[in-house]
Formats: sequence, structure tokens, C-alpha cells
Amino acid sequence: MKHFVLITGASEGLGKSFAIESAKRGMDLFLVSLPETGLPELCGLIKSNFEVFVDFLELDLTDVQNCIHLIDYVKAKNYPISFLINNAGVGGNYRFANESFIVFNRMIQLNITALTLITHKLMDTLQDQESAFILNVSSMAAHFEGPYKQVYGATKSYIYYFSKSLGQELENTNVHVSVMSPGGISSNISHIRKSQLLNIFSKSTFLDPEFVAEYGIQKCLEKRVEIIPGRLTKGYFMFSKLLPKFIKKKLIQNTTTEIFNAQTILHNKGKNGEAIRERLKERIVKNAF
Amino acid sequence: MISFVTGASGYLGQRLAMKLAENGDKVHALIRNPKSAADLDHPNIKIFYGDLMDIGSIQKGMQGCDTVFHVAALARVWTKDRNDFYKVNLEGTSNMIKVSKEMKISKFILTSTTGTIGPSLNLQNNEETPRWSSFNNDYEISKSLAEKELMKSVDNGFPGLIVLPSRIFGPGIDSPSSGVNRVIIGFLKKRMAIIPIQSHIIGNYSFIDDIVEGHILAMEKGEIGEKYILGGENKTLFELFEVIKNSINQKGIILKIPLWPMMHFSLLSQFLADRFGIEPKITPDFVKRLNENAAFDCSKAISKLGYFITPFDQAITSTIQFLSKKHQL
Repeated sequence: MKHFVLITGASEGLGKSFAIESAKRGMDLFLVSLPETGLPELCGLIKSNFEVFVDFLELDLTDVQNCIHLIDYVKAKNYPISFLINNAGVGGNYRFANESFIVFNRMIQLNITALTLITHKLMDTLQDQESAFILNVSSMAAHFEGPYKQVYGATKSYIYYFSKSLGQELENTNVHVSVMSPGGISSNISHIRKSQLLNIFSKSTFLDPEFVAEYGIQKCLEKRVEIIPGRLTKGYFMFSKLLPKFIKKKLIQNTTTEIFNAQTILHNKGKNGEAIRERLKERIVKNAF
Repeated sequence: MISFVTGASGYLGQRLAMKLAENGDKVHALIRNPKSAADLDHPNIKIFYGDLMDIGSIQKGMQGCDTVFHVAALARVWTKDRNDFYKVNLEGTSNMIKVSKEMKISKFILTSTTGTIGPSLNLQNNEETPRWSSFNNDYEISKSLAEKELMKSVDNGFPGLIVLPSRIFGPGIDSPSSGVNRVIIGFLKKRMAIIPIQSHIIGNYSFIDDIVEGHILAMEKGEIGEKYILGGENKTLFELFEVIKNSINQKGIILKIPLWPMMHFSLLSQFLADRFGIEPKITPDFVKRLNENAAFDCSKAISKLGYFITPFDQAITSTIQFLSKKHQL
């Protein structure tokens, strides 16, 4: 069956890899991402390399109006979406008291509201297809509660619960729901540099977005409900279930604090005007790649 | 005309400096190691000892020059301190740009790599192809950031342009940066080569003399702010090894093995490298690349610069002749 896939956050990192992987599998694509993140160029690349249909919209999905516009557009065009990959998300590690609510609100708007709204509005289209798949991208953070990830982790927990619950509701229908919980992904230069500052165990769980995307799509189409990419990550995950609570808590705290510190180091070095690190700041990298 | 060449003790830089000198141009060669001076023995070459981190030494060497070939880079898969990649390749380039501005240089050629464009899909990549694959090694990241740094200066009127050689091979001083040369030497010595089963994977292999010529053409005809891929023919791994085997004219075996043992070996090597500082033979990133096409289209350099690609068989033959003579194999 030829799928028509809708991917949010498709212009970089994991989303870009989802797009390439879908095109390799001969799926038609509808891609969504923020303006000026190179989406038209990516669509051009896919169109010239693969014989698939590609359309796109550049929108900021933290705005509910834009989500509605997206759905209206897809419906007006009658795109037979049979595969929905809810990939767009924002994260980061922050001290709750120090950070502006705008940051947290964006996480809630994108990771929760947009994902729920788009899935809800697309349900009829998905149900109209012979068989359809939803792949929601949660995170390992949803399974390991640690400091500095309060809001991000909570939004990913939402995605996890939402997916599992919806999946049960749609059991024995033509729509399958998968939820993927990846650990670290070296999706852009700043993530790679951050991972380099971590200890060997945290570092070894970092995966290429290409691998995560291929694995995620493959397992979703095989109707796996819960997807954890990476043998090591899966191993740690299983192992952590056996640990006593206080040890688990300690371990998570150490890792999360380490990641937080790594982020702070990179951020501060950038601030001090060191040419290299400055370039590593997420936003610049986002625009560049 | 006087050209300033950095990395003149390296594989490509040495060849470029000598070629410029033979053409009758004056060359100021920046090198770090006095031992390398012997490779640059030509009346037209003036040697300056220095370092990309030492602005004073760059200023001294660039005095009186019109043009700059910034070839120097840390080009390898691994170093003890990965920050060295960023120091040499990024900060070094920033320093070079800064001094070139002071000296009112008329043209600045940055030698980068097709690795910044990354792997290809079904079509060959060109200068405009957006990067679709993630970055996995510090070399490519640092070179990519150096390109951005140069382009930013170009936007402010700096006369820079970029050339991007692909996988380089051919006669020259010993260097870790030519994988093909190392394969040939290994084959000459052991009569054996190991390649992955996925031998249909395409790469672009460029002859060092073509790249040297490409640099000179870029200096003469290249447009400011442009990028030019200086590559060679696109060949599958299998074709590459067949040509090597046939040109060597001696019996040898090409052993095909699956990628996964290579991957496990590379992960172990990487672990030993990170933990104990043991130089890895292969890295996981290298193994990943073995499974991805990296085909490139040089038509821009051919049409705009008059770039010429030496036929692959001919280039391999002369490389083998050179290497077997040099290593007495």
C-alpha cells in the first residue's frame, strides 16, 4: 500500500530523517515546519531524488490558528493522509523559577496542544484509509523523572499516555498508534557538542537521527505499540525497572544534572564571545542547517 | 604575484606550493615543522615557520602577498582532544580571514571538503544540494563552520571563495588524509584488501594533481562567494578495488565482509580511543559512511573554471607507480 505521510517539524534533525526515510520507502509526503528552516530546499531535494509527491507548509504550530490552517489546507487538497508522524516538539533543560513562562508555554502549545489538535482533526481522514498509522514522538524523559525537565518531561509523558490510551481505543480498527521514546539524538551540532561533554554511558546512548527514523517507521508499520530505538537505551530502560527506587532516582538526577551542566557550559562559553561555542548555540545552528 | 599557502607541509598544500613555484609564481609557505622544509625546496618558495593560532606568524608570512590559499586543516578522523578540530579548522580560519583583511588580500581560497555537503541520495550532489544527513564527526562539523565563517565575511565584502575536494588520492608526501593511497599501499604490501559487502556504494575519488590545478584555476577564474566542487569520477567501492587490483598486475584477494563486524570493531576502537587515547583504526562514523553514497557532480568547476578530471584508470595507475617506487614495493 502506498502511504501518504504528514510529518511535523520536518526541516531538521529527526523530522528531516523521517522525511528522507519516508521518501526512500516511496511514500508521498506533506511536510510542515517553521519558516526559514530550509523546508522548500529539502522538498526540492526529495522531489528530485525520489519519484514521490511532496507538498509543504511553513507554519509555527505553537499558534492554534496555524494548526487549524494546516488541517484546512490538507483537507481542501484532499490529501489521503494514511501516516501521521507527530514529530515537532521543543525541549531543553531549565531552572523552573528562573525561566520565563513563554518558554514553558511554547512547550505545552507545541508538544501537547498542536499534537492533540492535529491528531484529532485528522482522525476522519486517517479512518477513511485502508489502513493508517500514527507515530507520536515522546522521549525517554517521559520514563525518567529528573530535575530541570519539569515541563518538557511532563509534555512527553502526556504524549506517552495519550498515545497508549488512544491506541487501545482504536484497537482492532484500521488505525494503529505507536509511541516512540528515544534517548539522546545527535540531531544537530549543538546536540552533538552537548553529548561530547557527557560521561561514557550517557554518550553511548546517543543515536543518529537517520537510524532512529528508520527504526521508528519500520516498527510503527509493524504495529509495535511502544518503540525504543537503540539496544543500549532499551537495555538501560529494562534494567532501570529492576532497580530500587532510590537508586534509580539518584542515577536519573546525576544524568539530568550532567546534561543541564553541559548545556550551561556551552551556553556560557558562547556568551563569553568565544567564537567556536557561540556558533554552537542552538538557534544559529537551527538556521544554518 | 605572490601567494601565501598554509598547510604547505601537508599532502595537498605541499603539492600546490610546488606547482605554483614551478609555474613561476612566488610562494610564501607557512609550515610548523622545520623537517618539512626539505619537501619545499624551490627557489620560488620562501618558508615561514608559524601556526594558525599565532596571528603574528601569519602576519609575517602574508606580508607582501596578493592571494591566499588556506589549505591547512586538521584532516583526520580522530585526535586526542576533539577541540583541536575547532581550534585549527575554525579559529585558524577566522585568524586567517582577519589577517587577510588587514593585508588587503585580493583573493582568498579556502580549501574545504565535500564532506560538508555530505552523503548523496539517488542523484549526485552539487554545490547547491542542501545537507540532509546528520553530522557525525568533528572534522566535518568544524569545516562546515569554517565555511559559514568565510561566507559571513564574504557578505561584508571579503574576497573569499571555497573549493571542495572529494576523496583525494595520488602522488605526494605521506598523509593520513588519503584513504585510497593507504588502501593501495596495503594492497601492495599484503596483497589483500577488505571491503564491505555493500560494495555498490558510490564515492567520488579525485586525483591530487587535478585538485591542485583546480585551486589555481579557482584563483584565476573563481568568483567571490562561490563554491566549487573539485572531484573526480564517481565509482562504486567494488569498481575502485577492481581498478586497483587490475592496475597492480599482481594476484591479490578482495575480501568482502558484512558491515556489522566492522561496526562492532569500530565501536570498540572508539571506546578505547575515548577512554585510553589509543588511536582508532576505524571509527563508527567511517563505517556508517561506507554504507552511504557520496557521489558528486563537478560540472560547475568544469564549466566555470575549466576544471579537468584525469581519467580514473590513468590516475590510479600513476598513483600506484609512484607509491610502489616510493615504498619500494
